[in-house]
Amino acid sequence: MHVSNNSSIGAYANISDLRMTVSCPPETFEDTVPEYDDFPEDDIATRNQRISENLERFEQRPASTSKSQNTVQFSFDNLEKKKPKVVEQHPHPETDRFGFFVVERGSATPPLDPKVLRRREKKWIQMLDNWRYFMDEKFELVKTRCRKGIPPSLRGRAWKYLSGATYQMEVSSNRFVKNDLFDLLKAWTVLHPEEGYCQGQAPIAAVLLMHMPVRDAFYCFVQICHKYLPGYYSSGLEAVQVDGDILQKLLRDKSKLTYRHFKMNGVDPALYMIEWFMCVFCRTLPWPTVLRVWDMFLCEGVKILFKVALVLLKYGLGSPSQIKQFPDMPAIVTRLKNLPAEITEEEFIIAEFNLNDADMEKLHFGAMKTRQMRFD
Amino acid sequence: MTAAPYNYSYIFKYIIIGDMGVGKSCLLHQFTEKKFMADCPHTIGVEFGTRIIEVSGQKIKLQIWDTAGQERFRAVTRSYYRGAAGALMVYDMTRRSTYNHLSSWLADAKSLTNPNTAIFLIGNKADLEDQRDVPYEEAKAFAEENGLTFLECSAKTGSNVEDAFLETAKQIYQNIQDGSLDLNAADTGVQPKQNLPRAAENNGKKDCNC
Repeated sequence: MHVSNNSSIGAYANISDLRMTVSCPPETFEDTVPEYDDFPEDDIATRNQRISENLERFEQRPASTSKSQNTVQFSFDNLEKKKPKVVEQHPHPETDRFGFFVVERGSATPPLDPKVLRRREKKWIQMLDNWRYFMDEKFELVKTRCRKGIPPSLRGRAWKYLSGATYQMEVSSNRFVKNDLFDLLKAWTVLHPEEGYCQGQAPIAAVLLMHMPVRDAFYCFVQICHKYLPGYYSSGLEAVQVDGDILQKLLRDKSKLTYRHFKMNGVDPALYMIEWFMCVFCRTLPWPTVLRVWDMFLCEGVKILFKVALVLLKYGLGSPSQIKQFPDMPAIVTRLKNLPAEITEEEFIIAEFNLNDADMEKLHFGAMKTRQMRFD
Repeated sequence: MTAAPYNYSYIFKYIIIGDMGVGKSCLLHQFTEKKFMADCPHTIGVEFGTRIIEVSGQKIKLQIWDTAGQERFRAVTRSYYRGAAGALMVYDMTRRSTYNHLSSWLADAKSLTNPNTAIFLIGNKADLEDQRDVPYEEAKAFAEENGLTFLECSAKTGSNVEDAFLETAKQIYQNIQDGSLDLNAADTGVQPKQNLPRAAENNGKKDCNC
């Protein structure tokens, strides 16, 4: 039992290489394996030769455990060998570790040390296997681990657990078939015929679909729209606008200069925060940061959005020199659409709001009270 | 962002409105970047773009607000109509429904802007002539009835896009010249260039008058 477990981790290491080149989400990697069969046919003789070379290499390897493992490994080796040839024939744009095409080289955080990653994966697996216990008894630990970032291989599963979608799925027995953004959103409109779907919801669904099959994604999606951001997407967009006011109040306390500057230039929170909050920053921040923010958001809820927004505003437009540099409304809005890379980087954002965590709790509580008063 | 000190005499505020998917953001992108954005994402909330143009030898800075088209975003976008000097009302000439909704967009534009606001009707996607769903003459008649200027254009090929924005600016400029647009009135959407805190861009100057 354990042996096969190990071997699958070994295979995983190869798969993650593969995934980077074919840019596909984790769940579907099995589908992509046969792709090596679709590669352009080359000379049968060289092909056979290559196969026998591979076999030789394999025999030289130290004791391998099972026959099935051999075949799996073999196909990957074969693929590895063939890859350069394919690249020649179909020049393939470079992709990053998330499978996105590389557009420009930013000062991205280097990928995690594999040893650390394995250790975290183990911890997460243990946690997911004992989920109820950890949520009830060790929530602080869950929180800390979310803040450190969920290992990519477990992210989809963890999100499902964090959002409570797993429980919802046990309760309901509906089934959805086709794996598609359209279907997910359509399912939502079936659930809410009078309301329909809001354009701001599509990015949310898309991020989820990149991590899990459509049925899982749907339940996570519903949890986010009902439990995490209730009323955000309903007609009138009341809830998100109220949160905009709360953000402004927080800004007044946390970054007075920014607050005054915005006020003087008529920069309304609605101008910048609607997209930030509605899409949980997935259209604002670099992808690695988006995932980290989502890890924390699904664990801790909407307050994470406020925290991230405050970090961005404070460090993007909070110093006297920045205020001088972006003196009027157009400049401010343009700046907020093009925040500098150093403040949107994952480590920066997370480090920044660990510092003022206690403060934030207090402020948020106060703001929530104001919100309640407004509703009364 | 380069801090080239463009000299301009006025700032005109524009808004772009219309149903979702008619190509508002693409029009703006074509106008400001001279490029067609193929996979344009939905606008969530409002977006913003600027460009400096020249009308009768005067440099004018256009400040263009691009709004989300989906009905429920109107709650948010309505607050950006105020103080617009020009409004571009866009429909998709291959989808009749977007044309049929024009009266509601027009009602919003008329009630939320000032009477001098130049409203321009744009039939977008003129490159898809074979899928045309709204005859030119019909839209033309609608525009005349409501005192709008009308153009069909294509954000994809760029045809007439430039004209749509420039014609609107000319109209506004004309209104200023003949005095029908009072620059001292509130919310005209026209701002004569004062000594804007441009100096702030040259760091280290102490003559900042803010």
